[in-house]
Amino acid sequence: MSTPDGKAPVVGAGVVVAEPAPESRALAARERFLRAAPPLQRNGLRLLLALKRRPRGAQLLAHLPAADQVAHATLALLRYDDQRAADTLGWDPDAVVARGRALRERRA
Amino acid sequence: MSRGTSLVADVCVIGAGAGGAVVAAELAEGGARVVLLEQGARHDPADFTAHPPEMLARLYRDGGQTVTLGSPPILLPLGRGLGGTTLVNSGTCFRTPPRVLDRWVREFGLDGLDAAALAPAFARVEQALSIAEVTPELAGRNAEVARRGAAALGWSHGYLRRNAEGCVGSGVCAFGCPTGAKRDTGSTYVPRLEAAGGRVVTHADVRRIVVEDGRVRRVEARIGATRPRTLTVDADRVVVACGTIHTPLLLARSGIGGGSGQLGRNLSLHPATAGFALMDEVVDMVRGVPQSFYVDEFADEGIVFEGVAGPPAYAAAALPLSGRRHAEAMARYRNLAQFGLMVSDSSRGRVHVVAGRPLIRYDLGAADLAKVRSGLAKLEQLFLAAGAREVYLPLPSGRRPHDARPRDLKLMAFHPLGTARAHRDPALGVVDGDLRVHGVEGLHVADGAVVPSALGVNPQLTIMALATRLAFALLDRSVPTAEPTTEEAACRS
Repeated sequence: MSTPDGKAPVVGAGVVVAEPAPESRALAARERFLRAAPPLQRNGLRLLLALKRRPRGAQLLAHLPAADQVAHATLALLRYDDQRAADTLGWDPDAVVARGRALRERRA
Repeated sequence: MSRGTSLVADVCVIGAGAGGAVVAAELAEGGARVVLLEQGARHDPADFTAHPPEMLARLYRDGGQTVTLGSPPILLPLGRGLGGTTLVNSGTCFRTPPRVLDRWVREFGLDGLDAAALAPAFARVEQALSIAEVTPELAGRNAEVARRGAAALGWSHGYLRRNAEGCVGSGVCAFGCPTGAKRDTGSTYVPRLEAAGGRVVTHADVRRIVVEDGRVRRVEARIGATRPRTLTVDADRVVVACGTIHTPLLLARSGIGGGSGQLGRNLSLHPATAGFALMDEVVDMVRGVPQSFYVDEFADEGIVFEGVAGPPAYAAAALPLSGRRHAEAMARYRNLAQFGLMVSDSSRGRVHVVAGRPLIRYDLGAADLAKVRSGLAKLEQLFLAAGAREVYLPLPSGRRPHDARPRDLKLMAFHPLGTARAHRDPALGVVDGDLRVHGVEGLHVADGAVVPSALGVNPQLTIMALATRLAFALLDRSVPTAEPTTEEAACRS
């Protein structure tokens, strides 16, 4: 299989990443991650994330590039940690850890 | 707060990272009674996952969200727990470049820190941590992309040396090695300390070092999260190793080290950033050692390129795109390559204390801005020479490297140094060449804070070697000279 320009196809095109499912491990990780931040920063980050998820808030953030970048990066970190998103990109964190530990045990 | 606890030691070491764990273990094995106090926890690699947000919250100070104030703000992740930042770094090991050591002798009067004097300490650490060069197979395809680009351009390059023995390339070094292959100081030197009879106290929040009549007497800490109580360690010698950001805070609140006016100043960071490339081939950047390869063609200009990579969550946070373009590029995650650059900075920042917490001020100066611009242009060149279909530089849409402004840059830093710098002259430094705090008997510093200049390379080996040298000086012995192995002899310096 090849693309019109003769190059190999890219893998996984067309993935849409949604918010982590409620009760998911990713959602729990989000809370732990936010709680780990210093208090002032934590509250600021929660505000930024809330704004970023709403159309008018996102429009406002577009005028504040640094704040928008922080919100975007944090949301991306959390969304792509969700198993549904990771699966489609060939990343199974639990399998990676299990494989690594098994390999190490075999070598020991 | 309930009743207190008292301990007595020959040496109390505060902080169990690259400096503290090393000095504590060497002293204990040399026969000293050592108490090691660590603010964080003892972590077990058996509990580690490959989920970045989980591990950031567990292994990093402030969840890895420490940020400098200035132009531009810089994310400065710091590890916390036994092992400190060695628990979450990439494991890259460089000896201090000789040109840097020459400068220390020339500009800071640190005559005892030349390359020959430090060689036994470097060799000892390299042996203790099983430091070896990454193999091409383990380096993975992300490194191969950079290797191909560097080879095509004729740029000097190579595989990095790391402290990981039996690494299987899980690809998540920055989130704690889940197989325990990385030989961080928490899993190497701390067990040695305990085997030699040293005592480790975790969750110890050191509040004050008490100095009387010009000599250190004891350390006061709060211990226990649920039922806090006081801990006092009586010791004639104290080694502070809380890290470059927190060591000046502890010294300042103890009323120590401020005489020169240098405490908290002279902060260098090695500002770093990274770009992505969309390749035709499947790269699977996370398979292999994330930081396994370097390009040092421009090291003399203060620019070094090193590998960086991670799982989708990490890549998504770092990918310098937004909206639909971000989603489309992430959909091609398996075809993405990533590589980083760091600059040896001449800008200097400062650590202040606000409400008991560090406030880090750092502005990128013109010379360092020029290095970042040049580095970004060269990074693009590297990717294109490797056959990249598209290159994503960490700049706003439409902005080119040569006209990037500080506020356009997305910088991180991993190597804070210099806030209690060594200088022979008490008016110009906080510690002397033997890492002794000027004007205080029995008090030493053994972490990145003493390093008086940017290194241009990853600093953990430098800090460990300085700590080794300090330990043997306190034992009044020379660092044993080990016969170098073939690999040690070939160690790139």
